[in-house]
Amino acid sequence: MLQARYSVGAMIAEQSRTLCRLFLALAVYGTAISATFAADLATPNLLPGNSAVVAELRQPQAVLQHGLVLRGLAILKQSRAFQDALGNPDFDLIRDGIQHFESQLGIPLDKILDNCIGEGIWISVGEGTPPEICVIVHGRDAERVARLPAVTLSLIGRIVAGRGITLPDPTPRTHHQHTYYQLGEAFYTVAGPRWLLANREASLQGMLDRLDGRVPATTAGLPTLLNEPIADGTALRVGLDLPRIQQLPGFPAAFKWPPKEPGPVILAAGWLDLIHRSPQVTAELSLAGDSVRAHLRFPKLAGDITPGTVGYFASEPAVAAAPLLEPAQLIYSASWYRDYWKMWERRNDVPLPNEIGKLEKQLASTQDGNLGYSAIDFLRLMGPHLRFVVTRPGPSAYRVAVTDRLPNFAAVVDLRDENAFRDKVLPPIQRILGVVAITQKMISQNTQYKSAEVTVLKFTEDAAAVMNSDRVRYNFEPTYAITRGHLIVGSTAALVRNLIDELDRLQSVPANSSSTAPGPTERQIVKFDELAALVDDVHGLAVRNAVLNNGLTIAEAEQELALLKQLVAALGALRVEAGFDEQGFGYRIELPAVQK
Amino acid sequence: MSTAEQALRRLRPDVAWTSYFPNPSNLWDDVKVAHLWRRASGGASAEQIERGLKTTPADLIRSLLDGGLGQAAFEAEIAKLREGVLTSNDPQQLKGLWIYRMLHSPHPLQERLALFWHNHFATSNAKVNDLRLMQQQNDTLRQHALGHFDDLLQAMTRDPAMLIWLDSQSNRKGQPNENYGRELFELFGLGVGHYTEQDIKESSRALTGWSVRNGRAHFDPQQHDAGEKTVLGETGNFHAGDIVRICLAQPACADFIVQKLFRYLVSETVTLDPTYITPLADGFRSRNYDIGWLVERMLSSWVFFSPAAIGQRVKSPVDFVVGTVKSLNGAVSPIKLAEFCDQLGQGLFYPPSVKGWEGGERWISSTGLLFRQNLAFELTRGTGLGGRSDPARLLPAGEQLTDEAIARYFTHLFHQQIEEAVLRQITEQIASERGRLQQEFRSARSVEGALARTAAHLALTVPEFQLG
Repeated sequence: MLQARYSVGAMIAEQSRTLCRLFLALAVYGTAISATFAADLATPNLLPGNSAVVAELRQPQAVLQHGLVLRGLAILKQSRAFQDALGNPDFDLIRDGIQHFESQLGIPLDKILDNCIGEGIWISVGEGTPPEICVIVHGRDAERVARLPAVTLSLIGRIVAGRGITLPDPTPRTHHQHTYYQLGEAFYTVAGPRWLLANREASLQGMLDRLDGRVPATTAGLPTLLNEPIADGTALRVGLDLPRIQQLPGFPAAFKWPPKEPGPVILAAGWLDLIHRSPQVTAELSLAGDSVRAHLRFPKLAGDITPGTVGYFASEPAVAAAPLLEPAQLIYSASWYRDYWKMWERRNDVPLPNEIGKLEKQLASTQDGNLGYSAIDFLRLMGPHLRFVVTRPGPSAYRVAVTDRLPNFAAVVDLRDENAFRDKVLPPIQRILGVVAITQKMISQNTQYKSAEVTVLKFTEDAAAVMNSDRVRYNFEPTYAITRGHLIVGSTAALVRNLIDELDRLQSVPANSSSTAPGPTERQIVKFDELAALVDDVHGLAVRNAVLNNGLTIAEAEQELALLKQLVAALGALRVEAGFDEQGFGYRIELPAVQK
Repeated sequence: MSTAEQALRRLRPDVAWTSYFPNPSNLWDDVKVAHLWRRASGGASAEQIERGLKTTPADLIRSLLDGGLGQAAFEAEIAKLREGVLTSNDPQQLKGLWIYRMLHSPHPLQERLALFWHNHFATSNAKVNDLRLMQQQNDTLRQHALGHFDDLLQAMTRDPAMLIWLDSQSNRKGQPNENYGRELFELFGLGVGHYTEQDIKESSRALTGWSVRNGRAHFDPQQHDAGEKTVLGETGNFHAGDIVRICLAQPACADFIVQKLFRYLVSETVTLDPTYITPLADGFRSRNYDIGWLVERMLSSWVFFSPAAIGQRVKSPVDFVVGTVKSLNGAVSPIKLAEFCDQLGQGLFYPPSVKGWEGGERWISSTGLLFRQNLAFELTRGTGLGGRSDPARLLPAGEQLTDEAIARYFTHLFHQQIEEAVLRQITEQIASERGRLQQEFRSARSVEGALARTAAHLALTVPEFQLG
């Protein structure tokens, strides 16, 4: 009599269905409650031409068939923690909502996705307060799409009834031969396989007029962007009309040009320039085969780069982010081109004379302190190439046993004048490090490696220090070296030495381009196979956390970690590349298919 | 005389500690099975109670004394966690690790007794300030939990955490510190009234010379007072081990431990007079202070399965959280549970003084009760902390349950027997809740799940649940 409610097998089957249902809920509820309308991109565009934002979600049911999703789900189905999370009563409403749709429409979830939203969902956001919103849900079965509004409204009605609210009946209205309905601020109708919704009556009537040909279909403005051919597997496309979107209430003033303060210029100058010069920005998510690709584009840039932002991106001939450093056991590597000295030299092109003046004074004042150099000197000596790496931990440099091994990391900055940097900047830094070493009970050691002087700070290992501190600190031996025109700062000496080897290796690789165009301004790579291997490195820490903080048994935690490892390894490697090209500026993220 | 006292008096002293056996007028029922699980393990799931009913009392007690299968594997798993916990220097992790043991150990009785000895030899990390030494002491308590008390007392006398806790490091020749000597007699071995101040002074001299070096007990003959001492009537050049031996030779020692263990395992509300103590104390002493024998006698006895014992203890915070999670067959963060125990006044590894936690009615206060009720809600709401202790999972599958059936299921799970009036009240509240839920958009399954959570919470907030 007192037995657990579900068998494990039934639980897994139930929860995989739940996941599918969850998706439906997100798609259908989101669309329904937003209350807007329909159009078909294969036919003249129905969305208003003055849209500030347009988005399309194409064939959402195909997302569930994507190789990566299927592989991920297959792994997650084995996870008890995941099953438990899905069985949580917080998901009751979603589960019950899906059940409502299934019972009312008489078909299972996958059929609902195909029949009711199989072609996709289109959304536009326009101007005004509140902004004009139009939504088109385009299915494949006109009869079921026709029932979708009533089923959705009955669901909403039952939900709000529990809170003591009675949903009013929709008021029917007519527009030419169409009957449409008003419910509060929402207007909707079904035309063939399309469910059209809008938050303004005129917007809905406009879509119907364009559908019937009473007025010309939209052939200009942002919606036409969605008529452009798309790559296979494109699942999501979003377009923003930048001039219009800057007029929308709530657009952050910090991203407008001319700037009102220097902070955003320093942190995001290149992006401000793109927003300033580009009429639109588009984002695409493509799920072709087993790969995932995302692409952010600022097309058709107008005019030259905004003065004062030069140097933030690689925007001039023959400059680019340095090649990625790829030492052994690499998890993450990034390389950015960012010439802060060039930006500083063009600072007067930024229309903030008072703020720039204050900044100049603040930076110059650092020379008055004990450092003996100013931040401006530091800027001048620092080159435009910034690189950062994270690797798995290698053998420990300490005798103290460390159960929780953490990743190593390092930053590499090129120097315009290595000797000047060593003479001017290094001495005060060494003084500061000396104080830190004393307070933290560290020992400083200088060693030679391939003609480079490598300075290592190690924690002492005497019994009292080991007993009274968290041993996690013995993962680190802060190290730096100034060599080969670079400043290398790392969490371990071994990594710094590896990076010196990497710089030598890259030095010997001939430059393969004679192009005068700018190269990529940013490169990144995440190696998920190494990240998965990191799960082994931090195994003890992860198991302990899962057991003590999440209540898993040790055996369960071990299994969950094994699944996590599989899940992460299944992702392969993620690559990011950004920069200017003939079409404008692009930011690409790619997760190629993994060899099974 | 209380009902419990009357129940005890109905048992003759020569029969009281003999083994209970079921008979038509005193059946082996779920009340007794759950009572045994609570005292010996902290709590039990419905499945464990069902299983217990199908076995004999003797077999169930034997299995509890021996522990289940997989003890070595469990210890190996714990060892994997322990080093990380210790190097983290985070006391909450150490507390969490012990709660984890209490929840999952295949030998739960050993954990229950380790907790008893932790309270008996109460040592706080507030002064020791070394997780490694606290864990070492905890392992020693566990190792001897069902072993021989003489071994345990000898081990504690040289335990590094104890040496720091009771200032043995400053107990030197010519400058004796009497802290350990006093507590050895007063709190650990004899009880007040069985020794003199002179005995303490003399025994403290014998205990000189011990300190802690590199995490281990260290004896320095230079610091030891090698002179002659007279302790409890014996005279000689005594060392620490001799003092423990002399203490154990006192008749009061067995009496003292029997009474204290009786209060922990059997009943807080009845006081044993010598006619009841003597049979156990004599047996305990004659078996070289075999704790396992004493525990078995107590758990097997007619007294244990009588109204003198059932429901005659107030659940400590640890009993409350561990027992509730076990009953729910749940999986809850041990660190969180340890935090709740801290907030309720039972911070593991941090007893308030060398006397330990007083327990009994001291565990009950208006704020403490409110806190327990809120904690019961957290554990039964099916999400957040209680995400993996959802009572809805426990209801029989595929059955449309009435309000009364749901109420009965959870009152039975937590109380086994409950007054009809209380059951009726819970049933009415569930019916009212059902009416409210049915106004909302919910499937039948969702409604039933919500009602299960409500019923479980209500059953846990019945005052009798604070007794175990």
